[in-house]
Amino acid sequence: MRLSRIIIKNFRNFKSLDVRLGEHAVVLGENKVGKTNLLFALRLILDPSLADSLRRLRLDDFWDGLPRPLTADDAIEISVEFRDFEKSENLLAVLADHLVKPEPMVARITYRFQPLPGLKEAPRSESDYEFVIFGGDRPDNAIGYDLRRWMPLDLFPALRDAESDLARWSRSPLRPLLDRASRTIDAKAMSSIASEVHKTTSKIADLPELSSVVDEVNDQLITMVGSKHAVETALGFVPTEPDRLLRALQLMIDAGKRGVSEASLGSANVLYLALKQLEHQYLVDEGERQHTFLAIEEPEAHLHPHLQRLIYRNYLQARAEAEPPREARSILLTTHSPNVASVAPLSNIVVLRRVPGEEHTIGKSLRGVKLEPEERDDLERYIDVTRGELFFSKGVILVEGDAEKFLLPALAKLHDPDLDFDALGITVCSISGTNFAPYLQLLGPSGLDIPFAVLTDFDPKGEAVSQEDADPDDEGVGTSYGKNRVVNQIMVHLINSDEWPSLAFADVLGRAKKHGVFLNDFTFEVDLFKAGAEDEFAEAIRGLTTNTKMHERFDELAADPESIDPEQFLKDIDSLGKGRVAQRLASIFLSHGSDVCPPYIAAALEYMKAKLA
Amino acid sequence: MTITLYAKAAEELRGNEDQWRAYESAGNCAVLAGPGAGKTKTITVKIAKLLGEDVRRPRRVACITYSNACVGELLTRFRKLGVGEDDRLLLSTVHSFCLTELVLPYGRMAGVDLPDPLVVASTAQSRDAFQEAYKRALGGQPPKWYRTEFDKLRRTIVDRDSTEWKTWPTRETEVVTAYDALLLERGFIDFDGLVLTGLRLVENHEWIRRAIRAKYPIIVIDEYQDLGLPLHRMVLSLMKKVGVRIIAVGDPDQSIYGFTGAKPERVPELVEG
Repeated sequence: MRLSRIIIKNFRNFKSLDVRLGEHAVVLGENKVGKTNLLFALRLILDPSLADSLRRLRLDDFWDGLPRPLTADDAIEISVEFRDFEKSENLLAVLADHLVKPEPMVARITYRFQPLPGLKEAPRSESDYEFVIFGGDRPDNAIGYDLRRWMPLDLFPALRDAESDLARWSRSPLRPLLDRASRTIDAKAMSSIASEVHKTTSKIADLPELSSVVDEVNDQLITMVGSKHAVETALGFVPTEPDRLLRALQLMIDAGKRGVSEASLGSANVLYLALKQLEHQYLVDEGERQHTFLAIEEPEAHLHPHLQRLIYRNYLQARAEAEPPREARSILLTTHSPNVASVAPLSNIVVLRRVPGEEHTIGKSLRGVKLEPEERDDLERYIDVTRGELFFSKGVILVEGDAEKFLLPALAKLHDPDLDFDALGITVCSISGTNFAPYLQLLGPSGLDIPFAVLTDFDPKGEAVSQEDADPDDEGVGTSYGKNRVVNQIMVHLINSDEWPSLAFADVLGRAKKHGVFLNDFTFEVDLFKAGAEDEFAEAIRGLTTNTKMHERFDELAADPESIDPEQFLKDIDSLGKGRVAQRLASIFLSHGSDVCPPYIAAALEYMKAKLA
Repeated sequence: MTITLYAKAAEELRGNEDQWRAYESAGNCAVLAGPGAGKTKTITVKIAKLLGEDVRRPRRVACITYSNACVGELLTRFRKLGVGEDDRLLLSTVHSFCLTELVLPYGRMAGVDLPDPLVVASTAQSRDAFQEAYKRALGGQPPKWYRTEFDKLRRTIVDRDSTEWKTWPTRETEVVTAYDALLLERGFIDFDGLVLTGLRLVENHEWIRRAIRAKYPIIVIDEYQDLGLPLHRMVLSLMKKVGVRIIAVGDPDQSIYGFTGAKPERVPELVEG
């Protein structure tokens, strides 16, 4: 089973959130965006350990933007939908009364905090409100503890204390495991062990030096409260009744030398998660519950980055998309850790983002973004390598290769001091000669909906340099460069598919800039050179190679930029490595304060600036 | 080990071979016997045994009977067996089963035309609609005997697309059609309508059968002879198509509600399943 959709209206940060989820959910968002509130919304419906008194919300819990005083029509509503449960008879038995769609089955549970029905006037105080939880589309189909018991949400909160939970028997995830194991222990054997323990313990306590301590304590107690109220104390390690003896068992670390309380916070957290995993499986095996939603706030807390990636990669392991989830457990993580984000399968990503100027939070997920398997692999690899940077971006500039990636931040800052990419949260993302399409899906309105611009080459890498314009009537041919590429590989993803067939090639091309797609005249380096960077190129080449022939060529170019032979020029740069040249150029630009921004890049920067304004 | 109440009660069944076989049965089972043969006792002890041994939460047993009086009678017996308040047992009349387990949760989703909100018509409201329907279809007042014939027709020919229905005298079918339309128009469903709708939901939708099986892997029906063709077909569909375990108890010679379209000879059909 999986939690497939969350809809929230008028609750805390959320005016109207509607987000679809994959098998697990990795919820990303800045501080204060509402990650904890999202989890609390789910707890209202699914957490059996949440007291009903907390299910009664308060007037403060209404979204702040809702005009006050509240009217009789204002209600807080939280709905969750479930899918992929119908193969389990037990889960179907739990959810059969709450279906909203039959094939495939979708069940929905709704929590509502609403004015009492039949109020004569507008609600004025909290006592005019009630909460209801119901299944399906039927408000009279009330839901109580049972559902939460069968498919509970188990929260591992941000301010957790894994260590003390491990130490306290009643909360320890070790308890059910030991309980199960102890069922088969022979009672006689157990009680003889208990008496052995008792005997040994007594030997220590009976040492005269120690027994006098006990006498002293007991005397003091009697002096304080009199013999009637004083409890009699004795020294011992563990209770000696067989049942209690088991409960006194503790997990030890370092081959039994130290208790868990001495473990690092990190190890305690790992241990806790491992035990929880076993506990959940145990509870399902025993028929105590049918599914667990394990919510972990700040899963990165106390964990070394490598460990974060290792643990959560394993937790969130992608299964084949077509295969319905088998595990009786779903994971919900709320985090701003790039390490956790970067190992999550794309379909599990949920990004929470504040809508600028409207003071509420929306959610965007990548469930339902249509990608070919290779494209998905490419993207996941990119995101893994870049530590999920894209997910946290406010704006993205997609470029062809590393050269642009290295140079763009410098070009932008020198062109317009306001354009500090780090401060603005702008990421330059290199598609490294692959296809723009999957990135457009990821960033586009049906994906994360992050503002983006595309910088593309008229002449892509490796093509013959002198590329006269292709036949202007050459429509729809899948050649992969220049205007064709813009139209048939980029714009096709950005223009409404209803409108697409009616548009001529030139129409589409004409709209490119409006959609943030900017094409240069040649290729990045050539355009940069022509923007007046001839001296900087010469300086860079001088610093990168001892090839005097090349020095001469670039010196001549600096003296007479018009004489450029793009083929030779690019060959030289390629021989040194485009990336190396770009890095060197970036530091030269910065040290000279050169504003040499090619027009197509300047246009893209303007576009991005306007989008983020 | 403590002896459960039902195990103690079962001892009294041991002497009667048929009762004992029913008690020990592991699959579909039909109990046929005349009045005073201990049918109700057998069935209640059997259900207590099912709850004690076969049914695990969150799944349940449904026990369906004809009237509220029968429900009351069964409940008293279940209390004596210590399972009266067991939430794993749904004890229900056929009408309320159809309403709460089929029509309300699935009717609209399956595209059935239902009034919103759904109101079950009182006898008076139903009578009124019937008379109006008669007037619209045939004119004038229905003769006294007509209602019985009308009910019988409505209950026995369930499929309005069937040849049987299409070749039936239109004088009669038209009244049924007019009545159904009128009731819907007035925002009502009647008792027979609940069962007929329930039947159509079960017969036409695999997903509904699976949902019912998940919730109620075992369905026990008391007073089977009185429950009519629609319920009989519903039971067959659940039993044969998705393997719901059916335990039915009936009196082949006695149908106090004989005019309802119930046919006692249907009970044995179950045994073969």
